[in-house]
Amino acid sequence: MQASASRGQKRKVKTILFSARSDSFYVNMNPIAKFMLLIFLSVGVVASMIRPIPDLTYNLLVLAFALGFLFESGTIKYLVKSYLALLVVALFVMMVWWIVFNQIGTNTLFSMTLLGSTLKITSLSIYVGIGKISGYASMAFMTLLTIMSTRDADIISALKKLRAPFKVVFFASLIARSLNIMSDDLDSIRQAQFARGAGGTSTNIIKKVTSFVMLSIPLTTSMIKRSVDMGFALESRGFSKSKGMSDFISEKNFSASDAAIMAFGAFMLALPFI
Amino acid sequence: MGEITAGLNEKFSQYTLKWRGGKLTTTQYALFAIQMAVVILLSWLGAIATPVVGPGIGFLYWAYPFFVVFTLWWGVWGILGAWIGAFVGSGLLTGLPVLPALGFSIGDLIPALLIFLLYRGYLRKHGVDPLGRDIMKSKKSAAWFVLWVMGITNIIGGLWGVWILVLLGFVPASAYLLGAGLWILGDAIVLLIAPFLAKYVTPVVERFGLVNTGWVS
Amino acid sequence: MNSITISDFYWRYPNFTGIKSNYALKGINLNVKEGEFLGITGPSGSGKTTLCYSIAGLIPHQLKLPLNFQDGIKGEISVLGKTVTKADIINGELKLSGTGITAPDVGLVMQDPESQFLSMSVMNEVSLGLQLMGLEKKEMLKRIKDALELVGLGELYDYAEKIHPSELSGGQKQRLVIASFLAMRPRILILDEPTSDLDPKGKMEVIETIARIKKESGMTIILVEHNPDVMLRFADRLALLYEGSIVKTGRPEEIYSDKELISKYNIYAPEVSELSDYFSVDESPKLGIPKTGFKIERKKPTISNPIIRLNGISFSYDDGTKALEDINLEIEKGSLVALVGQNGSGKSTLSKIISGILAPGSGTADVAGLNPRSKKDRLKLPLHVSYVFQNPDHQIFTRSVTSEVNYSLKNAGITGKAADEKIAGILERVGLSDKANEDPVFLGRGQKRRLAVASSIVIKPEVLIVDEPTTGQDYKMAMEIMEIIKGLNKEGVTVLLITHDMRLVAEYCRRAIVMSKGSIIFDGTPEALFMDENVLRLSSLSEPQSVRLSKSMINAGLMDEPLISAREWLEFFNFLKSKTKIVFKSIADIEASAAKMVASLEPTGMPKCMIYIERGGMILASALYPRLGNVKTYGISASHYNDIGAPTKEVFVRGIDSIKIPSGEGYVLVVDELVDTGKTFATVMERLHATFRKERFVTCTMLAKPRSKIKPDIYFEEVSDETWVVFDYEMNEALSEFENANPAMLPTLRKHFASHPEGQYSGFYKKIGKFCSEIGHKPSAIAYENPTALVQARLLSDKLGVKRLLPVNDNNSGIKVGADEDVVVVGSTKEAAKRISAAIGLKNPTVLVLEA
Repeated sequence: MQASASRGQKRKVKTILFSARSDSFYVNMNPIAKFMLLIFLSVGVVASMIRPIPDLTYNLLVLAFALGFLFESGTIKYLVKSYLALLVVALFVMMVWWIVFNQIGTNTLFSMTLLGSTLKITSLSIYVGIGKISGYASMAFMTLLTIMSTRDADIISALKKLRAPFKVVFFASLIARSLNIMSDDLDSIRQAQFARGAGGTSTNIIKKVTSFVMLSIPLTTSMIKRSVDMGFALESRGFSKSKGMSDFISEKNFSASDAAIMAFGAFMLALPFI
Repeated sequence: MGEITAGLNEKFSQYTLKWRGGKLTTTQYALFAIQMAVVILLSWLGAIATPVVGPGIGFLYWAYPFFVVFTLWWGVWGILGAWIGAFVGSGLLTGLPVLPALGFSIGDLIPALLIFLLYRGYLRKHGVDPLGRDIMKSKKSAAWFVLWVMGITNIIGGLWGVWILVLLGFVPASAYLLGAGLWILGDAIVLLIAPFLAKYVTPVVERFGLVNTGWVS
Repeated sequence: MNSITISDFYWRYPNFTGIKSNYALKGINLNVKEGEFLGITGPSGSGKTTLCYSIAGLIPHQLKLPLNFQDGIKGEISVLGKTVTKADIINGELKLSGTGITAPDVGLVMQDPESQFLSMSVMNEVSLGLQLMGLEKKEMLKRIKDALELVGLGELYDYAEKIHPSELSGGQKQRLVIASFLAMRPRILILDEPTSDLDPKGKMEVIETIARIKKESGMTIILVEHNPDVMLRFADRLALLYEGSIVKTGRPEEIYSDKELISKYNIYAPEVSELSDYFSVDESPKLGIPKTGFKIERKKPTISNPIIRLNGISFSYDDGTKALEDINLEIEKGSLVALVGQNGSGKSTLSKIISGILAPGSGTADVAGLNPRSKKDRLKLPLHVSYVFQNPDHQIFTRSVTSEVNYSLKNAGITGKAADEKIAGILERVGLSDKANEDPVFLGRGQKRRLAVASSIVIKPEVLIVDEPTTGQDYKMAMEIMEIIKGLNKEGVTVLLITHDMRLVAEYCRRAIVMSKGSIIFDGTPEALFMDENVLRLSSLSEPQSVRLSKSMINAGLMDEPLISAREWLEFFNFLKSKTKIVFKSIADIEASAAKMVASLEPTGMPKCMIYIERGGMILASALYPRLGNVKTYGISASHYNDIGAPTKEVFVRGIDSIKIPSGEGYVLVVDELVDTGKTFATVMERLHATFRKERFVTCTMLAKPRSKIKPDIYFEEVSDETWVVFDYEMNEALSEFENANPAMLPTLRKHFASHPEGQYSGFYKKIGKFCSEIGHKPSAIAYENPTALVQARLLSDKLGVKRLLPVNDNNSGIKVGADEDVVVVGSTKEAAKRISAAIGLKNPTVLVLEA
């Protein structure tokens, strides 16, 4: 349901995924600083994870940082609603793999023989598993925090700041815009398909695959129609006649707080190597 | 209704490995952006509705057959779409950490690149439809599809993707082959729908004159 | 100077494989003047959008063209003095030249705003074109602010950087697109069906924006639109396209008044066009509409066997948006119910719950015996409830028409011979039998829509939900689909019609459900809905033209119950015809009335001045003039026609400025032959009172009707409301009106005119007959010597069918015409005619001199 935008309604801004508080520190951070921080912390976590025994404290610190800003930016509810189940499964699978395929440690808590080989669970393998999933979780939360607190306009602004050629910048902008449009079209197509009885009452996998294949025809038609419309809309604004774009109006400059957060990122990056 | 135009689709000769880096129309420019968005979207929807069988490994990657046909149609844009789709759609948007996402997405770029090279190069010259429309019709074409698309390129992609996950400490080294095996098997299954897409949807794109005759346009 | 010149332009869309497409534009010749507002209309697929793209230079310059495209394009297009496209064949090769894309001089607003948004914030969207123009930031900000204000989105400026276009309502989105172009300061703005996907409020927002631009900017505007109301209101000129050719250009009222043209080319026309025998396009009645015992028969909706039962249904989307709240609803089996409301009011969500696409969040539901809250039942629901989506492109899943229909049957488990028979039957029903083997992706929009309906109804659903079945379709296509739906309903299928088109609601539904902000705010008959101003306002709906007419009749005390559709009005008029009486009045009768009038005035004394209302009061004034002692006499006109001759709802009174009432005691006599509804007479009196505040006026007519809103001070005969008074001096007009409105009365009328003596004017009748055959055409106006040539001018006006009369007094105050205008001058002598011509500025008049 759409509400008409009017004065006083902008407590939230639409981001790449869902929306976030418009006055949040993390939302208003310089996108380059934000992305760099994501990379610094992720590399730090990877450095922790590739050790034979991951640094649990480090991972939990990053996790706490991510959770703190998920609250601060007002995005935690979307994470809980849309990703929690997915992440729980992913973390569970990871834990199982690290226990099953990483037979280390001597303090055996449980063992069994299966098809001639012995599977043991040790306190160390559990510790490593927890280290791995905490690392995975902290990186996943950081990624989702970044995605859910960044507006597509920020990416374009960042690319422009990084002096990417204008057609490349604009191409990225069109991808972001098309995600929005095609997501709506795809929803509508899937619903139309369901309405034609393609949901089916059987659990026949072949039927389900056929339904998926059949989405491709309306999807392609829609892609072509949208591209013609967008192409024409671009040309109507003088796209191919233009020799280059003047600066975006909404460009975020680097502030002291961005520098501080980058310094924090650099520190966290260095920490596992010290 | 007007008269019949020359049957351009009868000839494969126009679909080549020439660079064709000339001017893109703005419609093509928009189309390539949209196709990337679609791959991202399908990767995302596919990934979140797919059974997770290993750390960072989903079993059925539904976007795969789509980016294969997109690559056959749109060359370098399809290949880029395969990479960005995997990085953003089945990576970042699903909450997969940024570093493994960046690394394993190369595992989709390489197969796409190899598929394009073979179909537009060698296979075109040897009577196989460079757009894959004849996979369900010709044994030769079907064999090449199984060997190259479901087989070799898929195996390369799988081995690469899981290797990255091992390197980054997500998958235990001892589980490398199992992880890669599951990856490859899952992708091989979903790739079975690519021939249908090539057969039924390609003529639509072709009729609009939107199939690339070279790498870029 | 011309803004746009198109000469003999041909274009066909390239098909890279398969069959060649037909020409989308054929031999287009069109000139658009600078500052002109040109409307383009025509049925679906007639080439309207293609013409817009061609003017913008997108066609052919933005398209990839195949080799050997020599017969694909021809002709030349120039915009603002530059050749945009020129197609030549040189040595058998196609050579295209021209400047190409016309941006930023030409702005192009397309139908779907979603596809035109290229950025992620309102600010960036408007700035995009400006950035591409390379403007400085300061200049950009100024232009953005101005443009947003011009389209009425000024209040968004402060937040423009933070608002994503998808957060805007439909009307706001389209206005934003318009603002994006206005910021670029184009000299020509092309709008291609900018309101077709919008709800009534969104439509109004955009229309008002266009009106403001027209008023404030003076730019050339080209508007493609199906909506006749919009065209009548704004367009200076209308071009009618049909199968790629311009078949007619002219003033909108001229085109919409042409019934033959409307039906031949399937264009949407104002509802009153269907009633054009009774109404002008400006909604003013041609016939008397008496308050009678007429009662329209309407079925009352009842609930005894509901097929849909919803109790306390609520629904929220994943992002937390509440779409439905506590919906309680029952829908009777076999009924045809309208579901209306603004975009985003919850109509689609409700329909998706009924059809099983979405699961309700809370509450209980029963649809065709299934429970939409149960997943198992929900999967079965599509076999009982069919949902036809708005966009036909989203529901085509196969590559042939037959297999498309078969897809539904297969999903329903129907195969083999039974399926083949059903497919053949349904394609026949929707008129697609000859397209059975075609690729549906390449069908026309109307055909795709019919295919979508066919694919949905082939499984014989118990409930059919149709979302906006007529959007973007020409009149014929829209009616074809509605007839299919109506037919199904007659066979017992329950139909839920989601629409913004109130004409459909009025014409086809007996129950309307109105939604607003996720709740049902009205549930009742369409007539009750249209009379409920509060609900209309809350839901941003607007009543159809038929209801507007009814309301004005009710307000004037002429009607009790509203008539809601053209069909009901026709029924009403048929009823009236059976009651209509004709009274004939001769010039002798008028003379007698004039004598009576003077006698009744004698006790109070003679007036110091007389004013007559053209054209009705002319003969009476002429009879009164000598009897009142050659009193100073002025003519004024009162009509619904504005200065450029377009009919409007307003009454225009002209000629008051030239009146010079002698000073001193006494009163002014205002005369007319008949006061019918009294609307024009009342307006005339208001103006006279306002202009001559101190004067006393006495109103006087020969005849009056009871329904008149103003009663004259003196009148001599009252005739019933359903009486049609025919005067001898309007023979031609009366015959042509009756020809349309009441042909049954024609023989009586003819007989009367054939037998009736023309009295003292018979000689003049003969003279004007000769005169008319000599001039052989219809002049634009008749100027006459006032009051000497009053009668003659009126008779000539009837004979020539000219309604614009110019009374010229001795000193002629104020009337001026163009030096070369085609005006006939009627005077008592050659000298008088010459004097009149000179006074009004005419160089070479056609003169008719009265009998000696």
